[in-house]
Amino acid sequence: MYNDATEVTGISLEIGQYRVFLLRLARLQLNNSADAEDVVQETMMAAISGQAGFSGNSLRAWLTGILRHKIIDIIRYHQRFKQFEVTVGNENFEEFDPFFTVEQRWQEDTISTSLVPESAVAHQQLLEVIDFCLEKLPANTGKVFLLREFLGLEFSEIQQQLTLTETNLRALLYRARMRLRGCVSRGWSDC
Amino acid sequence: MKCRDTTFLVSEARDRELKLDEYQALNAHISECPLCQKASKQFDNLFEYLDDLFGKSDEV
Repeated sequence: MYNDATEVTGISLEIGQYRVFLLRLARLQLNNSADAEDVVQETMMAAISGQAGFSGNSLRAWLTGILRHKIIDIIRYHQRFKQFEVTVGNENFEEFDPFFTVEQRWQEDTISTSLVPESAVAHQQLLEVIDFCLEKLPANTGKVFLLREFLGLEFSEIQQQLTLTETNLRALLYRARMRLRGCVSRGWSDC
Repeated sequence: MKCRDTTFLVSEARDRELKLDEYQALNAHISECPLCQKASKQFDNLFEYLDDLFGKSDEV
């Protein structure tokens, strides 16, 4: 009995250690920082009261999953899609011209001098770099990218809520991924 | 297919299953192009990082 109680407290403490990570993640997705604070608070409470549901694998993945569902609820049921309104760029992707030769082959130095990092970068650092990298995209592009990549929303929902065509959305995701590939290949620095 | 064309398919393959002809054209190019092999390794790394970061690779 005593041992059980100790163990529960231990997990609660461990959950608390992820608060900063979760808050950063929530802020990456949501423009409204009060929403981000609230959703992380709810996530922590849900995790602590529902810790029996934790399988014992990755605590971070479990908490991130709870956070994801709560952010989706906020966006859907509190009508937060408006904050992601995005300007549709052209589909020439001139910004990536320097990556390619006139024959549309990769430039050697875009690809071959870059390193592929072997070691995992600490998750929190990784978030900062992704944040930094996505910030360089046109306004809200990074957040729409995260609607897809983090929240896992379907194309149909994103298109409908943001009045985008499928072509617009594909172009937007392409831009973000092309830019982030550069981050990875430079070892997540100097994006 | 040119290197630049492959990048669109590599991105789209993350959202939908490629059609057979797209898949074959993509693989045919990549198998003969060392630069695209490196680039697609970098995209794979990126997607693994994202899945890990967002808790999708070891989610229960």
